[in-house]
Amino acid sequence: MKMKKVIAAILMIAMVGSLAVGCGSKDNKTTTNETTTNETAETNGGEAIALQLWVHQTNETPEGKVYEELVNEFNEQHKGKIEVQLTGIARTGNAGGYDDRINAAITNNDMPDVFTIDGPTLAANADAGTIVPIGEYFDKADLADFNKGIIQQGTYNNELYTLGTFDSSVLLYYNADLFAAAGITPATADNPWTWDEFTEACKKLKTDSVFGANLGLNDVGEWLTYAYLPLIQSGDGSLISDDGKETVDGYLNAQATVDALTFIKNLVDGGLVSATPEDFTFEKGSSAMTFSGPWEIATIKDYPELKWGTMPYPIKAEGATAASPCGSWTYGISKDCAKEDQAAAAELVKWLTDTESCVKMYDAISMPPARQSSFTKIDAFQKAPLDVISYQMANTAIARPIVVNYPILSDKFAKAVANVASGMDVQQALDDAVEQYNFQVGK
Amino acid sequence: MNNQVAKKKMNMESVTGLAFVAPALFLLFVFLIIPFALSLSYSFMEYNILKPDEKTFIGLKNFIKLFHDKVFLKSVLNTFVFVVSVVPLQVCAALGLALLVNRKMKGISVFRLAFFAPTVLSLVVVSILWYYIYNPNNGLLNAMLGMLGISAQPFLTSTKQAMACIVIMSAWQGCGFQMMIFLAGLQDIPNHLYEAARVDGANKFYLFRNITLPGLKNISIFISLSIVISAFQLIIQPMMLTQGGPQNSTITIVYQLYQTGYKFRNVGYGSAMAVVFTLMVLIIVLIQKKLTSKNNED
Repeated sequence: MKMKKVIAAILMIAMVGSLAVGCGSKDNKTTTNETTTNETAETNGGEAIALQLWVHQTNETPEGKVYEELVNEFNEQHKGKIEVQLTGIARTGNAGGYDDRINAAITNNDMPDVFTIDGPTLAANADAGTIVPIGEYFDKADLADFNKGIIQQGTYNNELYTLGTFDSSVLLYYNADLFAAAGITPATADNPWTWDEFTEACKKLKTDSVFGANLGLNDVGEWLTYAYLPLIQSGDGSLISDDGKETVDGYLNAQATVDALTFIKNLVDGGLVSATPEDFTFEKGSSAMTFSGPWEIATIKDYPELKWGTMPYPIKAEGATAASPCGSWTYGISKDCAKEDQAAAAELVKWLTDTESCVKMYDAISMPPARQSSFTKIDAFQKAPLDVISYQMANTAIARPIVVNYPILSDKFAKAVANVASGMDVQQALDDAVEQYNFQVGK
Repeated sequence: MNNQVAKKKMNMESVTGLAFVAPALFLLFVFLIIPFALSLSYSFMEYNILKPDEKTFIGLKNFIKLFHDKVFLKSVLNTFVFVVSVVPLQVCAALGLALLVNRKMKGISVFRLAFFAPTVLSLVVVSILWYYIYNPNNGLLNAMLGMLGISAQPFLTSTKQAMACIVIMSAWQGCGFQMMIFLAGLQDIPNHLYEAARVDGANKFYLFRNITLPGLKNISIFISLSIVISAFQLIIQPMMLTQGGPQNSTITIVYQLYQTGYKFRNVGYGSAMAVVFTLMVLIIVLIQKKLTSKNNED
């Protein structure tokens, strides 16, 4: 009898305990979450330096395919010297996703030699020492060829840590047919609309079945920060102080931020944009404009009847600073890469980010290259609709804040945007964000 | 003499018994006891996931911080609201469906399959589906309400309605499974009880109250216990539908825990949440078990 009770108690603890421990393993069965290539690395003569490369895409995606191709070419070129084993891990799949796997590898001191890092997490990684500086392996002249934003987002405490194959931006896509019907002339790259002009256009475009624009407000996460930080920068504000003290009070809740969120709030309250947009509303013609990255172009290609164009980021008012997003995934060399292998790892990063690789990546996924020499090799960037990207990249791009607590900062700002869109007072939402940020980081 | 043999037999038996239990115990230790013990130890530490070598002991600071954390307290409240509303709804829906499909009829298995189908789907898929249904602009639900002359509702964008939306969706997704268990229970109730009662002139309601319900008692206890435990783990639905919003109205404990530990990399603080959460659920389940088993003994 007693034994029964003990067993019952153990079972109960097991049942309940599994809540705390295994709260995320349920949905991993969906699709293949991980792909590897070159598993038989040792067939290649014992002398070659073996390098592990982890990327955040499996080889089922177009981006993952490019990584695979680049690595295969690299291995071919460096036969007998360096042998790279590529592992692609999808970002989705809770607790089994890429970020979680990297976190686990950090804890186990078992990191791959080279791995992809999302731009804004650089500061935290550099601060924690999970990645090592790579500046010494690159020529100054070679680095000068990279977009300014790429160098900006890869630099922490005056040391270069990461480089990327591609950069990114956000454009304002417009539906040419709806514009013509409403009698609206799109803005040109060097002469952007003001916020007022944008709102006016939305009013003209809005009908019972068409929203003025899709702001992607359903995607409460990094997107909202990436896309709408430039609204603050256009008013010469920022999310956080850049004096190294990382203060948010007086920045995250300052007038420039309030103005930016009020702009969004008025659009939602006026029924001009949806607070819960679905995907592809722009392609289906139920949003006349959309803010989106270069990745949108691949989707638009599936809708050949859609006539579209691009416009630059709107500015706060006539004469205000023009700002646009930039930055994307990069490569870093990990702390667990042996000292004597670092040069080989840098060789790999060089290969992945050279002019040709950037062009190849553009061909596959339409992302703007990280190098100016690659830009000049791609005709599409010299004319509409992509000329807006090259213009923004060269003239208005500003990197996201390079601060250790960026993930918390971005989360609080994105939530503030979402809260405002769901009806909360702007100042209140931002003051809450400041309070929550300070609480989380322990200030 | 006899006694000694018996003793020997006992020993042999317990050895075999242990051998049988060993694999399960091993798994229990590796995947449960040890991780939980680690969690417990981390909860007393300042531990950034990027800096595993710089763990420092900070005593109860994480726990003290928890009780000043507005968002965490809100997540506790939200989780309780969810559990308290989803459990009765899901049990009643499951029982109702089981009664509906517990009859001999042509094509009844089609209905059973249809009601069971949502439980087979991934919660992620179901959530995306319901995101479209709940869409306030052109979603299915508002279109249906419109036909009834009810004005469009904001659903997931409203702080008042978002949690209710998640409750209804979760009950819909989950109840098919419990329906099957109830159905098995219904078919276990001996038919002669009904016949005898009918001969005595009992009406349908009487049959249900005095034969069906008592016959399902043990199953109901099992079902409500298992729903309570899984309801406490709510994370996927808010993650997919609302990201915890609007204004933290659908943030849950496990979601907050996941964000703190992985997204904000604060493993120490996240572990403290896990520990508090586990104890909380353990206590509630024990109380629930005590209450229900007392009723059972008579």
